[in-house]
Amino acid sequence: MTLTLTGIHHGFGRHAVLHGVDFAVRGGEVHALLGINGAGKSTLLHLAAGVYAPLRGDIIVDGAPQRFRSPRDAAARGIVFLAQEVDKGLVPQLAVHENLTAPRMRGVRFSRRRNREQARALLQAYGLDVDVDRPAGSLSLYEKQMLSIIRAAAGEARYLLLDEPTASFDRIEADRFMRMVERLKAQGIGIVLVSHRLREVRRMADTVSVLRDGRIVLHGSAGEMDTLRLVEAMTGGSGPIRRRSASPARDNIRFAVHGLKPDRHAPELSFGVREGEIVAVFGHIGSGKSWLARTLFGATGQPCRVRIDGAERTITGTRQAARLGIALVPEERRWQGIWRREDIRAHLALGFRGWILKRRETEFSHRIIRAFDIRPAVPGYKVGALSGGNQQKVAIAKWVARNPKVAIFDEPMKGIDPAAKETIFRAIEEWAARGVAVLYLTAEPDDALRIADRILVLSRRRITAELQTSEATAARLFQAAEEGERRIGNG
Amino acid sequence: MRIHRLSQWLYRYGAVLTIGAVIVFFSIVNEHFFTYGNLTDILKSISIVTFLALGVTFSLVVDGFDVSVGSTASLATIAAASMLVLHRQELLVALLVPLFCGAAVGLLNAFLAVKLRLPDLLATLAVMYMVNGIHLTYAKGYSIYEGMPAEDRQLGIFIPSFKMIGQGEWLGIPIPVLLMLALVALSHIFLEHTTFGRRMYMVGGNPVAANLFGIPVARYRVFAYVISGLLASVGGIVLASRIGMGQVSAGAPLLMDAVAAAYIGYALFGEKRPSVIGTLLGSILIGVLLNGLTMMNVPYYAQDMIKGGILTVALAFSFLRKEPGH
Repeated sequence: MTLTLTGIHHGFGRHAVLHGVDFAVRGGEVHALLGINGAGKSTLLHLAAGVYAPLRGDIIVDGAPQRFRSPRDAAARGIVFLAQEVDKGLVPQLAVHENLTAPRMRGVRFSRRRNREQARALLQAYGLDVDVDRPAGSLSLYEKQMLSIIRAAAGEARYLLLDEPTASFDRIEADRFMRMVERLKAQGIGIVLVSHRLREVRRMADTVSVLRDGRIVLHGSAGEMDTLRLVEAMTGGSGPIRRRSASPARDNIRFAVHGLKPDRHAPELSFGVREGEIVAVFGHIGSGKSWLARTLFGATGQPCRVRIDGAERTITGTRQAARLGIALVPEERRWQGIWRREDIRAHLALGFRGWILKRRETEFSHRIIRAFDIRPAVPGYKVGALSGGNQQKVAIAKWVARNPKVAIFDEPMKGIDPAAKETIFRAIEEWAARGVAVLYLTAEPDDALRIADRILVLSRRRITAELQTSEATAARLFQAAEEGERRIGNG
Repeated sequence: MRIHRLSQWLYRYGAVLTIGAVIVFFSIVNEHFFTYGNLTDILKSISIVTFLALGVTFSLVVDGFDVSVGSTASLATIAAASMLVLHRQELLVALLVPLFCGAAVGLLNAFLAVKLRLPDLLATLAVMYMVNGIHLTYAKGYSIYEGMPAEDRQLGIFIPSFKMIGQGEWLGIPIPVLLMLALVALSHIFLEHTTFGRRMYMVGGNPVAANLFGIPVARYRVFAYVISGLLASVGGIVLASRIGMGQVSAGAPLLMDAVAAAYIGYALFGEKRPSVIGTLLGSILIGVLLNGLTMMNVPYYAQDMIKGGILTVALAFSFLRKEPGH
């Protein structure tokens, strides 16, 4: 009863992701797969689940080598992959009990009453307390996640691949999730768990493997591991990271947040950013990063008290935030940051007012295109046809005309090639040099270390540490995020 | 490569070519088609539809859809006639009251579609029925005309200055045509040459991104619906003036032509982008077809088939095409 992957090589185009990875999970075991973003965890899970076929290497299920052509093939062998977007597999309009048992129904006859009873029994057995008649679309993320797992476990699944299942869970939810994992183990299901929360990993996992740059760098039983060892294996100690040369510190606080209440339990958030300073906020998925970025820009509807250049303001809407001189580069570039059918010029001149003077806008566009190295350097080019990196440059550059005082970047390097990345970093530094207060939110330790003067660590919507970049390393950032977990775990 | 270029060019100008081809065709088969008199007739006949189509265009720009323009035009027609005939008012009132009605309908649409977030098509469809019912009830189901039977009061007349709007000429050009061209020009300048207009397109193109740039999305959408209502009521006023009476439900048959014109414009130049010039050309295409087919003695009841065919061709041109780089 083992799912084994041996000698796995894989890559996309010229970009190699996995270099000869060996990985195995036995039935009734929880095997945690750790690594920073881009280490190859997701690729490995996708290979095991039949989303892609490996370039080299074997996938062996219970002793029999397999060649999966689709996730369907893998599911037929009992391998179920649950991605972060759990809602994908659920039909939002259908009731919980229909979602739960519909895939297993045979024949035409369908008894609603029996179906409900079965569903109720199942939910109870796995410890999920929801009304089986509610439409699946109305469930919380936690409930959806649990429902998907229960459905898989009640079906044919013998190996579950879970990608960051707990990222959005609060402490109580995480505890309940752990109890369910116990039950799944007792049932003989093998679980591969990807998580950034080391504390949870140490409590749940039997075995741990750490992936770095496409290789397994640490493997062993969970009992032998401590946090420090895991973090060092994940980050590879302190690699040579190009850092930003220290800029002369300016004293006046340009942008300050005080008394921002994240939720009922967490304490209020307060912090400030100086003129020309770049402050990174490091936090894993689910730490409240995007919530913070959106709230500061007035996009969540939650009022937020700030001070900009000494003036007290309460931000309640996006228009007001933009007028106060705040700029937001949102996380989901393609649907939040750009207009695919509009050209580069229309983006760059979006901050202009009054008549559209094509000559002036084109001249302005050429200047910005040069400054941001946008390619192709054609103002009339549709932004939807640009590469990801160039789209992001446009998404950032569209703010230039508005001359912001405060710039908030939410994970701006998602899916961006290294060359474009460096250009964008330099553009951000240039803004800071002109006195803009920059807040840079990211889950990538290397990016935070590259760009920041100072790093705040966000964990469960709390600021758990504040570090000067000169004294920070990726390992320390991970540890600080983990300490937040522990403090709350005990409290 | 060359063939690729040609097909790109065809997609871009296919609809414009179609209009040209249709005009050439009619000119050849009928000697009376390509005359000054007939061409101004065509423009005159499409002017009212064009006002409504401009309204639809504004709603399309912000990614909405206003199907209440037809009944708004009916309401404006009745309102104008009522002011002139029943209330014996002067020109100014006979213009302002219908315009006010149009703006009010626009606000109602905006309330349902923007504030309550009903789907645009359904919200404006509901309003279409409501407005239709309101103007019918007000007129008690009858048209309002000069010398209609009235026991208890003295009736007014369609004053000449009001009739000028729909029937007059200036330098040999019918006033409705001038009015149409003026509003087309204004709308075009507004949408294409001011940043306000561009932001309307941005709101329609990606409301999420617009909101995250600090553009007040809801306000722009409300504005578009109010403009749409106003343009529809201009159509109603011109209609009342031309036929010299307030006919109930006179705007209803205009709706589909207006929507078709706006969508032909949407497809024009292969851009999938609502535009004022496109809408005007779409409207002209429909007008030319109707006029030419009538001249060729095609019965009116067969003309809808040809309209549908043209709409299909125009939309196919732009929807079968892949997204271009630039």
